[in-house]
Amino acid sequence: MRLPRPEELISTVNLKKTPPKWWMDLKAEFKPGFYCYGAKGKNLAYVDFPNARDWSPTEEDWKLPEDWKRIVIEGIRQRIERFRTFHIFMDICVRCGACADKCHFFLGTGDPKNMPVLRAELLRSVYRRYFTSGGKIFGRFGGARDLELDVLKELWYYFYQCTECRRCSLFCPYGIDTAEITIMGRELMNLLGLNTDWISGPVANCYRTGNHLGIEPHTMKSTLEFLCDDIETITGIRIDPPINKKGAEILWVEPSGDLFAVPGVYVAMGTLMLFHEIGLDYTWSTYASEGGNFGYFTSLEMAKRLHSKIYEEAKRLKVKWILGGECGHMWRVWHQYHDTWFGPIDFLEEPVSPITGTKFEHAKSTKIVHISEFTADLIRHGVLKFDKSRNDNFIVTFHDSCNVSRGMGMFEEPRYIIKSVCNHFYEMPDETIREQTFCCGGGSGLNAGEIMELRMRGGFPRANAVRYVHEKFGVNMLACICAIDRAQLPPLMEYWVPQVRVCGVTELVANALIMKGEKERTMNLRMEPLPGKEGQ
Amino acid sequence: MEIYDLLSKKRNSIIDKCFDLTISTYPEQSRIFLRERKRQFTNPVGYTLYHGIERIIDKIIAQESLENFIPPLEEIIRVRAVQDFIPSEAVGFIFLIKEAIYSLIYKEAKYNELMDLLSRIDSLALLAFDIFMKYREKIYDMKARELRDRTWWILKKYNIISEIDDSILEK
Repeated sequence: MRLPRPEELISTVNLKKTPPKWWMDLKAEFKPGFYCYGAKGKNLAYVDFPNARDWSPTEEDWKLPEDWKRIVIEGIRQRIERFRTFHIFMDICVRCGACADKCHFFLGTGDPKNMPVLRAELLRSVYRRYFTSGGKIFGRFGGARDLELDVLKELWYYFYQCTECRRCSLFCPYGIDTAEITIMGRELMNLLGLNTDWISGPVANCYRTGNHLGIEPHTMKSTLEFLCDDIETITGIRIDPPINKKGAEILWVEPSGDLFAVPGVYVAMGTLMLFHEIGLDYTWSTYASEGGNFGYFTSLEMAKRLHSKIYEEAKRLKVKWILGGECGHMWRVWHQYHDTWFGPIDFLEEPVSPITGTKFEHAKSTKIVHISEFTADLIRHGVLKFDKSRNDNFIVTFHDSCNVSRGMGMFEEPRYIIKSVCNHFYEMPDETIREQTFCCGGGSGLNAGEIMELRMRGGFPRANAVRYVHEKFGVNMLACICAIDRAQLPPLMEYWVPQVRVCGVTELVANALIMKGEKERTMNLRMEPLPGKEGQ
Repeated sequence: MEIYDLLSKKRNSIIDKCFDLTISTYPEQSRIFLRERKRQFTNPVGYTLYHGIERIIDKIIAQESLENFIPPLEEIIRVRAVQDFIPSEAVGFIFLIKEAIYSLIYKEAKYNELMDLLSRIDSLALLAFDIFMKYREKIYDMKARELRDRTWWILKKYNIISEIDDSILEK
């Protein structure tokens, strides 16, 4: 047989023919780099998740319970009865396609099943088959299909290729929140124990030790002390961080990633410095030691269980209100779910800044304030003194984290802070920021090392916009207010725009912050020389 | 007419055909979106492919040296290295460029010149392979580094490992 020509070898090239198969007949192919590892049985068992066992997505046998089909169908039934939104979203999509090219995973992959409309259709087709007359009668011709094992595998594959960022929902004329469909899809997977290792590990850890990484109290204490050692080297000021201090006015909750990884640690250092400078009566907690809530990526019940620990700790420590750190989905859970789960909290006080007297009325119900809101208020009242030139080596742009921007509606505070502490700030193009922000590509538990390829292509639209401001304005620092961003964006930048680094907003604040009694600063929080202080 | 003049004359149709063929390596339902090449921020893949191909064709016409082809090839291959392609598919678009050029000029071009040009384009395929490997290696390097960065800091802080301190050298 003759050798093929190269263009024939690239077999997908076919300008004229339609695809040989209808989308329902194309099975999901599990390629390394695009799926997360399966959960460990012990992590599922620890939080009483169903069907706890070790499993792997690439093995033929997913070790499902015998009646798995009934469990999923019954799971759909319960959810359409319980969540009116989900029921409506299953019925009303007209497949106009307005969402199709709004998803960063679709934009990065070109895989049609990553279009939000088709990703939802994967589940909708099953819903139609078992819950609508049209689907029952017309079957495939009515857009319905049986729930077979391959269909289940496809659902799993694509629901773990959505970061629940909700950019698509912004463009839906019907207001369908495709992220909610993913959330329901993942709940159904959870019923069969089809969790991923990168989500279920943190869930189990969070339930036991209070944070994703499993940092135990003594470790957290020594880590904070290490950070204070570095702060002393940089500023000459020794800080003694209050830990589990009963009767403190404020409970401080930081994402645990900021205690153990660069560049998050600089945010934790910045927070320690800021609170010290204003003399805040606050406390860290070794149990409410995590803002993030990976339970939210498994089931709403699990999210609620993990969320309650923060209030239990607030009660135990007898604080007045809670201040939360630069975290992402922590804020979505708080703003969109908390009141439904618990209603207004009745044992804390309405947050009032002890420094400026500002009443944070928006937090009347949840009793929690975001660090950027708190800091912006301090700056607005002229409480803090800054030397902006210390950040002059940084030409900064700001990435709106999906959960804080679209999920919580906070756009201005971080920008106000950055402009107050930096001389060089440039926005990315309008269609990539604020409510239209592109996801970092690693949200909703998709920041696992094994899916680096998926993360890189999912984050491409974001990186592409960063590259534009890098080339146009010389931007070299990407600021954000989310711990997942601080884990995902550094490799994303390394791949697409290696000249740009990543930081938290509070790091920039602490760099510029003039502290009472500090020595002449020669280096920033990263221990790099300040502008004009090279060689000192 | 000299072959490079011919290429220059047909520049736009060559670019369009190369782009169409390259887009056709993506699934059918996605092509209509990817083909929209002006939306720099809301269709970064289509934009990057188009402008990468445009620069490659212009460099072929201008008979530029091999190093000058690296930046536009990197633009395209960096994207395809993390998409659903096996390696040959990821770099194979070079042969689509070849195919597009051949089909548009073979009737008018002199045989020897045409053979020479097509053979030169082959060297882009070798270059593309190097670039593809560079970015795949980068992915694995990043995977390893991510794991190291998440643990190294702790090991150092807890004095489980230590490095030569700058202050020792200063003494």
